[in-house]
Amino acid sequence: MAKYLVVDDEMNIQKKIRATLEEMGYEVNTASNGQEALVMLLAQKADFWGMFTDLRMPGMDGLALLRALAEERKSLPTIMVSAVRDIEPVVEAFQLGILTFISKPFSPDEIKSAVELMNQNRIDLKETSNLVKGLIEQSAFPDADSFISKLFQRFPSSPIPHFLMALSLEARQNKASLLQGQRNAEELPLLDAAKKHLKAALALDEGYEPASRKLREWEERS
Amino acid sequence: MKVILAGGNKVTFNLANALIMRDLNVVIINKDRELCEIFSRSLKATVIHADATQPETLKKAEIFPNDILVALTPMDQDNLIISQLALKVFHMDKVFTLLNNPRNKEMFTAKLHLPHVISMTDMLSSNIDLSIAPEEVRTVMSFEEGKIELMQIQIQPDSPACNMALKDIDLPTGAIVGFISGRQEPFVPNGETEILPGDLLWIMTLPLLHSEVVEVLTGIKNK
Amino acid sequence: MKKTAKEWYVIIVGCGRLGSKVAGALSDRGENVVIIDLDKKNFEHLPPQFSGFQMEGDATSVDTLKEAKMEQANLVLALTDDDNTNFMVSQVAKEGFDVNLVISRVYDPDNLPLFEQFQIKTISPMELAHDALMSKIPHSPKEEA
Repeated sequence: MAKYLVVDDEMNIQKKIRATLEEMGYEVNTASNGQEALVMLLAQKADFWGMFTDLRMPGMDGLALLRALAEERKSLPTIMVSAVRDIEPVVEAFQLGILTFISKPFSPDEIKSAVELMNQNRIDLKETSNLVKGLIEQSAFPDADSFISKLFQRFPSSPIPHFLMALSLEARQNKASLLQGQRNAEELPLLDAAKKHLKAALALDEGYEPASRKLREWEERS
Repeated sequence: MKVILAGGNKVTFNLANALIMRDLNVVIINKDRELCEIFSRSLKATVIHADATQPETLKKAEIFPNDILVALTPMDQDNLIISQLALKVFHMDKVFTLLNNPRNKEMFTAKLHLPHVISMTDMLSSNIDLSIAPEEVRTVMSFEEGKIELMQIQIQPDSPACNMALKDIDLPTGAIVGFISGRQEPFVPNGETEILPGDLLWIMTLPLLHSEVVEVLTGIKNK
Repeated sequence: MKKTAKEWYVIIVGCGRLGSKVAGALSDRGENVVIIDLDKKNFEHLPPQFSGFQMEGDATSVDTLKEAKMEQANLVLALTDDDNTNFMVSQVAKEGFDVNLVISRVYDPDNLPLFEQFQIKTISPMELAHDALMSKIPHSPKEEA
């Protein structure tokens, strides 16, 4: 079931947001400060669809939490909830990637709109993979790579971003070799990098068929 | 016609002074007893010791619709209620409201429809002109502690002075037209200069001649 | 997914004894309550189960009312101990923010006409006390002529 995280040191606020989310049919976990939230977000099976966080909290505050997440190369759709008193922290929060900001006091409708916004921004792994494959076929490498790096952030323990990266590198290598007219087995740096990604994918999930098939294919060729 | 100043302290004193020098009839309402005593000792004005936010007080001051009221307290909520009482209950239209918190400006002017909202800086330089035609007449500055006044009057097409030579206009002695602007370049007029509609006249005058100058150049009587 | 009826968005200005009690009652009822007071110490008057928002601020500054999102309010209660403050809050709520229902406490009965002129509903402690008192006083037996 879809799960959201609510981070706020005030029980009242936690209760209000949780009530609205549960009414919408979502599962809700709560944390009272940034530290608690960070632990929950970095846990192995963490798969939150999004997060509501307060700005001012004792210990690790909202901004510190976002910064810590960025350092761990983890991100998820985030809505900041806080009393509007200064502009600067809010600006920094936006720079750190929050989707939007809700000021206290708020109504249940505002929470509902925020959830809809987060849902729109959720990156669907399967859909995005297909999108990326299409982009690679068209040789739109910068676009493909930007989607791939988002996938790395959102799904760090999935083999799929690595696999897609390998495909992108392979396609780029093919293009380069065509232009340079070489097919010398030793001088294919991009392909080497691609192989490393396939191996990484298999390290994360040894049963991942697409990666093992590709690897076999390349080994047979050389 | 009288001017009622409700509330305030230093600001009230300066404004009262300026108005008295213009020979206007001033009534001060203040709820601070000491201030009232100082006002009555040093100003030629009627002083009422009472709370201007109460309807009873304004009734006691015998306000007429033609009077001018200025709400000068340091609290916007007090100035608001004084102004609304004056406008709605006492049927005045010349009501000036001091705005202490600039953030309330839009609410006071656009939503609550207070006719004249003045800011603190206007007040401090006694820069408000309480005449009935504020768009045409502006008191720009007072010099020598209010003993000399610089006014700016824009000549409208229906002004009695329109198309007349300066020497033929009945300005009182003690008032002088220093500059005329609004044409190509500002210039110093002489007796033969014809006053045209659209001219902006810069006049130096004794404060007590203020109303007469306004009447001669705009046709509007203050008294 | 069960659809619940929409609750009211209520803003109460003044967290004295009356304000805090009404805030508690309305929030118990399930309304979305915001209570504003100049001094956050006054929030201690609120009942422990109060589930609304507490805002420390000056309600005579329109900024504070904007922060409280007064344009979304269905009900505004002006319950400070100063009639002039209550008047400003009420008028701003009604004319400035188009709030449907605005009720103000008015201590001085002389001020009632002005509030009524602006269609602000009022509760007057003196009138209420008078009515309650009169209802407790039985009629004296009158001599039949």
